[in-house]
Amino acid sequence: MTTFLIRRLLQSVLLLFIVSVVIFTIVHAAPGGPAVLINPEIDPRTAQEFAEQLGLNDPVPVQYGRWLGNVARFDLGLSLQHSVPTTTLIRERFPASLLLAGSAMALATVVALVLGIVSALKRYSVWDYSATLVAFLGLSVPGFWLGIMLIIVFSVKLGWLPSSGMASDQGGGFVDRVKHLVMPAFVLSTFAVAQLARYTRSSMIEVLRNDYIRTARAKGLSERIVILQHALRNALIPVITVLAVTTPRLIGGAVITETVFAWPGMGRLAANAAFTRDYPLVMAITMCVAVLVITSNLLADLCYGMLDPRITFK
Amino acid sequence: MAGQTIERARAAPAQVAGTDRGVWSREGQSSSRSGVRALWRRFRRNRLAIVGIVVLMAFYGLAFAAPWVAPHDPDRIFLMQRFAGPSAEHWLGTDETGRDVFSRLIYGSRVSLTVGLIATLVAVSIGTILGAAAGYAGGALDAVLMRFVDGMLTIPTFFLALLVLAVFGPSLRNLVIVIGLTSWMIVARVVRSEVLRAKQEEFVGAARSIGASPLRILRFHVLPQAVPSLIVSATLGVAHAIIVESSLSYLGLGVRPPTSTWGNMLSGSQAYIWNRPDLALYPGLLILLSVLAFNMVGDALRDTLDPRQSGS
Repeated sequence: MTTFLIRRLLQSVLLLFIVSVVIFTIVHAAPGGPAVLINPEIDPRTAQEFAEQLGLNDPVPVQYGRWLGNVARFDLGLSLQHSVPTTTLIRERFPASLLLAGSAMALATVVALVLGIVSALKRYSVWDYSATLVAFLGLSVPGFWLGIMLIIVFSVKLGWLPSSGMASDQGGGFVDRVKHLVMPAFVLSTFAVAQLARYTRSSMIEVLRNDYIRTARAKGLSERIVILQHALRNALIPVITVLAVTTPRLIGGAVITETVFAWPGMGRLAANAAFTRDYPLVMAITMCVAVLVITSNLLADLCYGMLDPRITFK
Repeated sequence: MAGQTIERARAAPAQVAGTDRGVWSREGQSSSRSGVRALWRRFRRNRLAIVGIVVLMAFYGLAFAAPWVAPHDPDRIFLMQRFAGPSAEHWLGTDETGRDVFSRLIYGSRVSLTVGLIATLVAVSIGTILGAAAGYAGGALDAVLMRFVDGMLTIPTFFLALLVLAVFGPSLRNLVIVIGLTSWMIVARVVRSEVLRAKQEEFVGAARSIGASPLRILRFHVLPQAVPSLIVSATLGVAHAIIVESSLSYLGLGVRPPTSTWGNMLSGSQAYIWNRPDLALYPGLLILLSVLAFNMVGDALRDTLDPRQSGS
């Protein structure tokens, strides 16, 4: 187990290195420069000095080396646009993103498990076909459009839910926050629901064919226990991998969802950083996201082992 | 005996053509043709997929015939009729600058539908080359390429696409390149695993023993084995590419106005949802329908061509 963790940690460092090289090269290879420097209000000479000061005129490998050196000292740099440490900006925005993504993930898991289990148990029934259709729709609907449609129905026509932000201007209590969260979380969850439901269905069907299910039924266990404890536990194993694989897609989807609903999270911060060519902020967010994805993959592998004792960590 | 063999061939054509009779059955024209027919019979059973094909044919037909079908020039501005409701002259009304919505939808399909196709072509080409190289060469090249794939998969592809377009500037060409460059990784993995499998087959060893070059072996003996999985992931890839294109256009990183695409028609529409919600409705509905059609066809293809990976 320890050797497994150490090896994974080393692999993760390698992955982070690859990611940082790719992104750094892309961001710096493009013509033009950060938006703060192209600002027409700034005197070109001042901009030139500023660029010199930031070392933006050095060759890209030199700049990368400097960046890497700073990262090794846990310094992710100052945002060019906001002139504050990038870590401060991320820390400000992170809770909002975590709330949104966490709710979406939780919602997706619950809905997908219900859909998947019902489909698998009542195979080729109306329920199964409806669940399959829902999954297809979830895979195919563009998130931003679904968001706009929901705003039209629930904010514009019915006036039930607020169309943007995380809370009302006056602050608002728990109910107010939940109202703000419902639509973005739903939109962000659609893809994951579809993906998970399909895998849960096929995984359940596979598991239900096994002898130990027949044994469990034969010894007189109630159907509920057979399904939830014997079948679902085994069916979950492949589903958990899918859950981990969905994480990057969820983070990418958050950029869109946060834009549609003006949600003050990291997705919008990332989009703005990209638009304004805020190099340090882009790099900081990328690293943050990469760490998240790697961690979720590692967690999935650990859960794998917990659910299936046959798997050992080497 | 003979009758039974034919029965079996009909029941499981993929298996028979793929492994049982190996390379010999592939030489015969007639047997591969009846294989295709058997696959078609299996595919046809999936009614949703047939609906999907019909929808796609209609959409691509309309996109091709846009100049003859569209009632108006998509960029013509009817100054006195901004935000006009549906009428005999403007079937779906006009938009915020007084352009005919129906005509813009038809012309918009051209960009949205072709970007998806070409971007997927780019992705499949890159993925096939790298995947085949990694799988066939093995060793250090395989390790390096696959770590690179892992690294690329660690960055959310949409985030990467957004970053590149924001930095290099949005254009039709950049859009296609970026979507292609950010979605080849899964193809590479699929091709690699197919190549690894095919490498074990006897006919590859046979080809090698008579002195065929690695490129020739890849081209004629190994890659054909990967074609079914490639077709499946390409079809599903187009679906994904269309969504990515429209999402990027929504953020203002797609094809620039005045050229209409479904994505950029939507990006302007959110400002007018109070008085004209239908401006947002139509383009999204068309995106949904085309993506749904590609997904259904791709899913049915997987069931037909690649039973190992199918869902049930």
